[in-house]
Amino acid sequence: MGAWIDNGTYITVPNVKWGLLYGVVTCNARAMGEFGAVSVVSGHIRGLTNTMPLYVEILYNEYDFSAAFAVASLLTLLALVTLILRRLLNRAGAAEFAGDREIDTKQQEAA
Amino acid sequence: MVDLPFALPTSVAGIALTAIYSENGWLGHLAAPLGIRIAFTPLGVVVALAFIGLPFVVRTVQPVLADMEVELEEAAATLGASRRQTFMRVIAPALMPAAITGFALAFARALGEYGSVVFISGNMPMRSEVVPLLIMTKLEEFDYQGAAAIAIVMLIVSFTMLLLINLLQRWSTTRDALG
Repeated sequence: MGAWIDNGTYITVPNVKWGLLYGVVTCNARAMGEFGAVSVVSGHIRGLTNTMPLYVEILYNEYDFSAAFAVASLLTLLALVTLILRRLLNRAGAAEFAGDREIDTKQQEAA
Repeated sequence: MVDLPFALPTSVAGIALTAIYSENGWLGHLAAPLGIRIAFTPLGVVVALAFIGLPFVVRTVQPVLADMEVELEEAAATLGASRRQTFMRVIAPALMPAAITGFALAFARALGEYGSVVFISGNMPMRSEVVPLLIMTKLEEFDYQGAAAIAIVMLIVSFTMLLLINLLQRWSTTRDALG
């Protein structure tokens, strides 16, 4: 049992950490922008179960365009942060993969 | 930049596209003198869905295109093919499975797209309504049976699309293995 937990925390997670983080960031982006599903389930009650994309729609329907675009700009900013994070994580993962391969070839040469 | 529609919340895409393509928007005012209205018409829905679906197609076709060897085109050229023939007879057939898969993915996404379309379509009854919006309207009218009936039809279509995409992907991988 102990080995099982150790395997998880010391071997599996460190090996997949960049991929895992990449997945978390992507998932977060989707959740942040989700519209249809949230709209149906939450009932978008203001100040209680409203999300930013739904708030954009509410403001837009009230002809409060500047407020709607302000919220939309915030969401766009978050989307750009997501894209940058994704690129960095992708690069970090690729670099580590390349590093592993280098070590492998060196070991093979030594053998 | 291609991935922007993935990360961008759909309602942001919707509100921005509506602002750009409405009659006094950046692109809308160019189309207006030609008698083309984009926002609040079915054309607007097409524009929004193309924006949402584009990254699916790009991301599926791009790796295949990048893997393609230049020698293939050069061989076609030495055999006397023109640029057009090279594209039509050599490149396009090789890209076909990936392009169709990308299209199917984009189509599946477009089927359920709600956030972006709801802004740009103007939701005119029988003219620019999309199915998810119909479900929403039924729900707001407490017509749960109607909503469920539409939802089941959509569910069947979605499952069919999923099956089709899986088959297409299998087809494209076997083609890659052969080629």
